[in-house]
Amino acid sequence: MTYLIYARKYRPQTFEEMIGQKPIVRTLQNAIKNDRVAQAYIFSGMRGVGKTTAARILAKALNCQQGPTPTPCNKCEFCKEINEDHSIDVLEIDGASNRGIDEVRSLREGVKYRPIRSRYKVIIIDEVHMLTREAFNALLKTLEEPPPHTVFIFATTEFHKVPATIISRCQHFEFKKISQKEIIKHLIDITQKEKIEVSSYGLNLIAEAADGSLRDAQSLLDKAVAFSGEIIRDEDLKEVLGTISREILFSFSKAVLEEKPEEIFRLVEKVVEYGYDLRFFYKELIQHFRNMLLVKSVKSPQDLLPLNEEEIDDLNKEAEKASQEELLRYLVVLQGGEQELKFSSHPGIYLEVFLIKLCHFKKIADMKDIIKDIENLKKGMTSPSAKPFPEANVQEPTRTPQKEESKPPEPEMKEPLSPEIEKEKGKRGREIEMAMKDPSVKSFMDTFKARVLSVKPVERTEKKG
Amino acid sequence: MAFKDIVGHERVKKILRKALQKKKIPNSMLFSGPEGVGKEETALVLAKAMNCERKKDDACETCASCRGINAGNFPDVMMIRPEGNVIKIEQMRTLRKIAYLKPMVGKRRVFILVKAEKMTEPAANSLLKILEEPPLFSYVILVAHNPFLIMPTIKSRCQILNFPPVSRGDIEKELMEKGYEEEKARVISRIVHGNLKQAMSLDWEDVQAKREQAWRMFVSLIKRENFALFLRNYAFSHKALIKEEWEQILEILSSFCRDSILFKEKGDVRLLLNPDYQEKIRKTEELVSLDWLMKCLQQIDYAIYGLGKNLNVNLLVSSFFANFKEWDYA
Repeated sequence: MTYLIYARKYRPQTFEEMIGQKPIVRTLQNAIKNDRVAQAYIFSGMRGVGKTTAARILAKALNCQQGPTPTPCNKCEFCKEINEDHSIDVLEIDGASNRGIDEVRSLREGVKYRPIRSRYKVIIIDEVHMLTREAFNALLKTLEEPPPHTVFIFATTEFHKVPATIISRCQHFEFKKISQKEIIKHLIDITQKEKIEVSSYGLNLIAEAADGSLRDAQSLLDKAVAFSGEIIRDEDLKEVLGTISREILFSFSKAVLEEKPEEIFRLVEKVVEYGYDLRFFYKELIQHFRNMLLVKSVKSPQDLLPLNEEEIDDLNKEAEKASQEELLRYLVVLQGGEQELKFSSHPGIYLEVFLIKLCHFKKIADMKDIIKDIENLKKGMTSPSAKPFPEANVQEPTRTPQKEESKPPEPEMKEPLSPEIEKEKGKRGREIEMAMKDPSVKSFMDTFKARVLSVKPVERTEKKG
Repeated sequence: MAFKDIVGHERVKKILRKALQKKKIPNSMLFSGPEGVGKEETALVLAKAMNCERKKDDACETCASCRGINAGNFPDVMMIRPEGNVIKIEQMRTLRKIAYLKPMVGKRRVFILVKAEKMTEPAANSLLKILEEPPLFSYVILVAHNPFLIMPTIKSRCQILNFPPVSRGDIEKELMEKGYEEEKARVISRIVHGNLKQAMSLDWEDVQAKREQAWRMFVSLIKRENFALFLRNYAFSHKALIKEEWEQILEILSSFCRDSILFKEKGDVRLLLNPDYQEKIRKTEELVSLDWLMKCLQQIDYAIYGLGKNLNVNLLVSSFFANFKEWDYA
């Protein structure tokens, strides 16, 4: 029963084997070469990118029989001891379990003495962010001026939790996410050694799901092998990763774009039956709509999407069913629903109802059309108002009902007033004409699309619009 | 209980049995999935299978190990449950101590952490090292119903196995085997949302009464009448457990709304959540609009969210009904 998961089995043992993190590796190697090893290091970065591994290799490099060397031999007794985790001079402490001040005090006691067998005393504290405040402070003095031949290495995923006083006493290295390319390269390495058959598409899927963490990628591969044996088919892999099949996504977008809300119930049922996580599914659906938009708006989407010709073709066909603006609108609305889905008590029901809303989306008028309508409305408004009153009265009934709705108070105001105006026109027509001749009055009337209702014979003319 | 006694989850069982056959069981695993679908049971069966003296890929239920584990007095299989409301760091420390000791009786040490999402932050962090490099004979199985609450650093160290909700068909079959009538089994399988445990322990009379109540509320909401009755029952009641009852009613209510939408959209009638109310829902169809139903669902969601946040139940109920009235005036 000596089954080791890949993450442990393929833990790099030398600096050269480390995946990614090239600048850090070089800095450390040069430091050893030039005999400029710092007294304390802090390694930070996300899960599964090589912090603990780097710490261990550094310990070996310092204590290897071949003298401090950038390339530890992994053969001498010191290297072996460290590999097997029973070296007396290399202490690997789990900071999360031994987080109190008492543990740190006993550590300080130990630091006083010279290394027993090896060259350096290396103290690795993993998950250092979990030390208590007191424990950190108790470390400060030792960390600032440690006895010679002592090297501290801290590793943490949550760098911000480490006090600034600790950080300023250490050399800080930030480990970056590992690129998909490097992950794939490493996975190919493992599959060759383990005689596993996976398609390159499958490796791509794993690398994508791992999101920059090599350990995640290795665990996923482990799981895939456990599920389907040495030959991993793409379908099996999709099942292991929980990738939602394209057909389902397409059937959803079809129901939405072709406005078939009745389909939604059946489809959501299907998703639930398959056992997909609804929130995960929702994310994929957003991605799907995003891909459609992308295919529609970019000339050569091949470079941006990890899909083959046929898949892009399918996307293109699907995207034909809606305009770019519509797709964008779907996407915006979909994104808005994500938070609520997370907190909904019945995500299934929420999802159904939300998608039904989307199905009815096309019935909502296009923003462009609305703007056009308004423009038309404006034009329609300007022409009658610019004309003299009698004609405006004639035009009144020919107006579309829409316009009457949009400006309900207007006709009401006009109807009772217009006979009065007629009368006034007879009486004061001249005065109005006079007033209109005034350029300032005219421009005012034009800009506000106003019309003259009454004219007071005094010095001022009153206008309403 | 052996693998065959676990309802549904064919995929998970297949993975586990394959791993057992090949002796490639990962040392750290995370079982995640909604409540009441059988994660804990599966973990226990796996522990038995790993220690079973007769069978390789299943529990035989007759050997000393299997019986010991069933009785809960097998020293190498440990269940760790929240103490009070959380799993504490002390519990993790004991786990660490024991994990490095060779198994006493059985072949492998198995630790099952029930409700792993209840781990405190220090507890979870102190588990990291042991999850990453456990001794070869120790296995840790985390059982959690919300994987979002588990730290990513833990998830990355575990093999994650997803347990989907138990399918309706499976629940129906299981209930019928237990002697439920077909109609009853059909209804129950639909209202529990894949929660098998709940399906098995439901009190039918009680459920029917609650659904009847929820239906009456649905009708009165549609007709906008008799709100006072419900206000008296829920907002100003001094009954204990009124909060739980209100939540259940709301949940049933949301299923009615959903079914009504299904009718409106002419969806497949077989997908109804309340098949026995089909006729009644059809009759009310004309009285409601799609918009109203959606708003109603939103209200229900707010109310349930409020209950989760421990808001005052009286006020929540009052505002729930008040909002319905307000729409009429708006």
